Amino acid sequence: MSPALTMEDFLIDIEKRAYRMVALATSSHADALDLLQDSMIKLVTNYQNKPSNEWKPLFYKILQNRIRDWHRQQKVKNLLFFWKNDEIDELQPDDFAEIKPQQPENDLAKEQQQATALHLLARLSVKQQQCFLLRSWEGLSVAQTAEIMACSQGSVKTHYFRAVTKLRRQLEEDHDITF
Amino acid sequence: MTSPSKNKMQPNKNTEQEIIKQLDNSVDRLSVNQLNDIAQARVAALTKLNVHNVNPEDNIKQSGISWSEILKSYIVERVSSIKLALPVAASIALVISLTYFQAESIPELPVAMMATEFPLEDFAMLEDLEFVTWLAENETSVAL
Repeated sequence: MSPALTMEDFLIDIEKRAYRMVALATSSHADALDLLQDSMIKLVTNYQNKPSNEWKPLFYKILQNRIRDWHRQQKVKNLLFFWKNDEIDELQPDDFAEIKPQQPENDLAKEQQQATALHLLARLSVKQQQCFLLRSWEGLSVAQTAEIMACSQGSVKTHYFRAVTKLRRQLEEDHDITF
Repeated sequence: MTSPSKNKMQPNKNTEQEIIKQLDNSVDRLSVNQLNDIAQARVAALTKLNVHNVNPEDNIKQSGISWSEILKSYIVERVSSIKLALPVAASIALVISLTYFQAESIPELPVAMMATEFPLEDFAMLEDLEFVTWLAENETSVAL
């Protein structure tokens, strides 16, 4: 990351992946956007004067805190309004596939694979899922991930290992994909 | 000969790569609506950047307003709010104190006195009692 990176460039670079991460954690487009915007605003207002190479871990720390708060709120909401049956149905692979008519078969197959991968990620626990995304997708170190997720490095390693093992097993069992 | 741990790690690595590939694809294939929403969120955040970047002193210089004028307007604003708040607070305090002291000073009437209908027998007994008392007083005065 170059030192002359502007805040706008940084946000453009990170926004889509961050959106995907929150969308996987919340299973809701609207909530994901809210959390993403909140995190961006917090980064801009509080940490714009920090060196640009610190923005990424700071941004993801803010985002993870927002995701944690969101899950706490959902838990309280479910406790208070237990009679309301507004539980989100378990997501199916098709939920992640966007309907685009008249697509070539090749594209459809790719989309199906992508939907399957996202579906498997969505079925992981939030900690395992976010740990996997931060470590593998964002390429953050164990120490950085531990700092972002506010847990020990040992926990990060455990979450990550369990996430990868679970993903591999599900891919092999449900979709006949062997490695 | 490869170690068992290496054999075990290899499939995990492949799984990881496969999932990451699909994640990258999913980001590349976000819908136009999703992209627009994300861009709007970014723009909303960057407007805060512009607001926070502006130095208050620069802002004052640009607008040509002096510190004394700002202070004066601040005080005037405060005084006008005090002008409104004081009578409201005084009237609320007055109402509260009145209701409090009224409740303290006036004792509650006994329930028996609140009854509208007294039995006639009670009245007759009272009259008899008054007559007997009067007779007794008369007798004592005669005896004296």
